[in-house]
Amino acid sequence: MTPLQRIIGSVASLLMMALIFHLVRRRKLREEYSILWLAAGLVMLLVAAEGRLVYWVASALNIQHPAYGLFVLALLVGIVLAIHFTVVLSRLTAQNWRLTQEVGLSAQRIDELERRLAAYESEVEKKS
Amino acid sequence: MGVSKRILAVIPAYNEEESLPATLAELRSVRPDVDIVVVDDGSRDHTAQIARQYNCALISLPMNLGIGGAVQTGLHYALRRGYDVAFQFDADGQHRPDQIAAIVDPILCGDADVVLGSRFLQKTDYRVSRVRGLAMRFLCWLTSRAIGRKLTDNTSGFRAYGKEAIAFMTANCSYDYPEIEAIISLVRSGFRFREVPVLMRERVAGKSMFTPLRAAYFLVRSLMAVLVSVMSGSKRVLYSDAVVAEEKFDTTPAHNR
Repeated sequence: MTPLQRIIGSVASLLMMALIFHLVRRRKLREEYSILWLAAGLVMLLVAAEGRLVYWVASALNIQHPAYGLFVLALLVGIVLAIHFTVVLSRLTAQNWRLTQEVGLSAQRIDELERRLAAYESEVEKKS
Repeated sequence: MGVSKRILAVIPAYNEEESLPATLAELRSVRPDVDIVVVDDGSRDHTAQIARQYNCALISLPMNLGIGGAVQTGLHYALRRGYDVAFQFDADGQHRPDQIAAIVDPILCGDADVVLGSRFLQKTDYRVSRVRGLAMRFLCWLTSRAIGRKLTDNTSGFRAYGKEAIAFMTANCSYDYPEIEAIISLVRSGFRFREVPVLMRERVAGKSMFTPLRAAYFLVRSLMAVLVSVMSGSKRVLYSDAVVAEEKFDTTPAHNR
C-alpha cells in the first residue's frame, strides 16, 4: 500500500467513527448499537493504517490471496449484522404487538367508564 | 345449580361492516346469555361503529395485528373480567350461534380445556376448493402427528377455551398461523383437548383469498409454525399468576367489572 492509500483509508475510517459519535451525541443512534459500529471502524482503521496486517492474518490462516480473506471477513460481518438487526426487529414487533393490544384494551375501559358516568349523571339529574 | 358460568364470545373483525350486523343480531337473539366483545382489528370501515350500535364491548386496535393478535386481545379481556369460557366466533357469518353449545358445553361440564369445532368430523355439505382442501388435509395430518392424536380440521376458528387455557393463550403468543400453533402448544402443555363436529355456513360476505401461490406460501409458513411449536417449549402459566400479571394493567375492582 502506498502512503497515500493508507492516509485516505485511515481518514475515511476516522470520519466514520466521528459520524457514529456525532449520531450518538445527537441521540439519533443508541449507544447499544454504536459499540458495534465503533468496533467495525476500529478494525477498518487498523487495516488501513498498517497494510501488512492483512498479509499477516492471511498467511497465518493459509489464505493465498489476502484480498479474499478481507472479502470473506466483510461478508461475514455483514451477515452477522443483518441477523442482529432481524433479532432487534422481532423484539420491536413483539413489543408493538403487546402495546397495540393494551391500547385497545385501555380504550375499551375508558369507553365503558364514560358510558357509566353518563348514565350516572343523567340519573343524578333526574333525582334533583 | 351453583353460580351460573360466564361465557364470552370473542369476535375478531377486520373490515367486516357488511356481515357484522347480521352476525351480532343472530348471536344476540339465539344466545342472549353470552357476552360479546368485538375486537376491531384496525379496520378502515364502519366495523367499530356497528359494534357500538349493537351495544357490544368494543376493543379497537389502532393497528392490524391479524386474527391471532385480535383473538388474543379478546382473551386478555376475558381473563381480566374473569370469564369462565371464551370462544372465538367469526364475524363473516361462517359460524352458527346454534352450534355454540357444542363447543362450550364440554368446558362447562369440566370435560375439556379446549374444544375445537370441526367441519369435517361428520359428513357435511361444507365445501372447499381442491387446492385448499389438499393443503388443509396435509397440514391436518402433520398437526395430528405433532400432537399424537387425530385431528380433522385444524384451521377451524370455531373454538372455545376454558379459564386455564385462556391464561395460557394470553401468555404465549403466536403471530402468524395461530390456528395451528395454538392447538399444538396447548396439547403439548397438557391441556385436555377435544374436537367436536359442528355445522358451518359458507361465508356470507367477502371472499376467501386463496390462490395457488398463496396456498403454497400458507403451506410453508404453516410448516414453520408446526416446527416452531414442536421445538419451543411454551410456558404453562398458572391461572392465578396470569391474573396477577393482568391486574398490572386493569385495576378495576373485580366487583365493578
